[in-house]
Amino acid sequence: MRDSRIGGEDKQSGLVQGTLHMLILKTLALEPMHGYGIGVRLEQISKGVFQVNAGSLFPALRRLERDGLITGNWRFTENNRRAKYYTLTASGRAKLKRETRDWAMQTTAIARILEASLGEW
Amino acid sequence: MPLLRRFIGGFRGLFRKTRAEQELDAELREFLDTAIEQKIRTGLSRGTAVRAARMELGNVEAVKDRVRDVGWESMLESFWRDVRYALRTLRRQPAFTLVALLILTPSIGLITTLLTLFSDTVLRPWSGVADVARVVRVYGIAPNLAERVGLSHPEYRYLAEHARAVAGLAAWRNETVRLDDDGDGATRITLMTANFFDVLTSNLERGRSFRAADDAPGAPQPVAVISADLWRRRFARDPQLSADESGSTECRSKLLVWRLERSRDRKAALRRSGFLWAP
Repeated sequence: MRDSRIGGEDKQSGLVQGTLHMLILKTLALEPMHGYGIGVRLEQISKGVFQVNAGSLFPALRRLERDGLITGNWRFTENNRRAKYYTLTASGRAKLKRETRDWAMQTTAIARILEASLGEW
Repeated sequence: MPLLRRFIGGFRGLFRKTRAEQELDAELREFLDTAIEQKIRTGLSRGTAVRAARMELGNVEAVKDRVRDVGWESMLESFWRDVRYALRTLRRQPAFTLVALLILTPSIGLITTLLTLFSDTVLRPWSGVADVARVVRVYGIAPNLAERVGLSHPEYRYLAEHARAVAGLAAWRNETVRLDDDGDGATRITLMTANFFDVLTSNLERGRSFRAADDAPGAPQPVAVISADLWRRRFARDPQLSADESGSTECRSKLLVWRLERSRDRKAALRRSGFLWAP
């Protein structure tokens, strides 16, 4: 939520602004993956709610790689095709932890506000 | 650290542009191939799968542009492209370039001159002092009036002896006097403690600065510092006046000349401080 640079990317993906980086980090925390795989995994886990297109995904991957949060290595896929696999770095893991904590705090606070009734004030 | 990483990453990107482009091409190709393969697996015909995968990838050049825009180096590249384009255009239209230069050059010169004058006369009235940023003014507060007032001499002496936050403390008071030959009105003078010029780290062009004994009660001979402007205007650059040993009979003082390096400094200082300083 703090990183507003990816606003444009999020708009195209239907994501809450600033969450694409966090979701990519979370996906890579599960296992190293290539670009297409990350997009598919996000769509699967969100049950089709988030569809991240290449125009959003690749700039986000470039930013994360540039910031040292993920690292990319070329290797062969199970279909014997060369692909760039991204892995979470230690900084990326720490960043994901912070972002997840912040996100939980914010969603809890928003939920409290939305569920509040007049008598509670 | 992320800032440093971004800077280094951008710098690296500038020099490994071809490799980065090739990697991006390969990555997008792989994205398309995998997408086609996955769609065929779900039962689509090859043609339909290719169309669907292309739609999913979108405009490849647009995607590449968005990836290139990540990082500060893209702005630098864009700026450099604009500069080269501008230079090419100017070279193709020499007449236009000449007219533009003839208009812009004197205009920029005029504006720079005006801004320099404005800066020296209005924005930097403390010129002549070595390090203006370190100079602070100390006031007293009158409890009943709740306003700033000057300090008494004993208060000044106490502060000068005990204050540790400042390198030096000097005091002054402005007066208006009539010099012996003042035909055209009064002269503004500033009475000050002997360390005034030392605290402000101002240098004298001639003679010596005040000594501690100069402002002690019963000092043997009164001394004064005059501005270079007063020395020239009123005393016709008389070298005797600025000599350390000789005294001016008119002022009964040794006259020393405060060096102000440029004429605009001198004017600014005169406007603010008067032009005779005495302990």
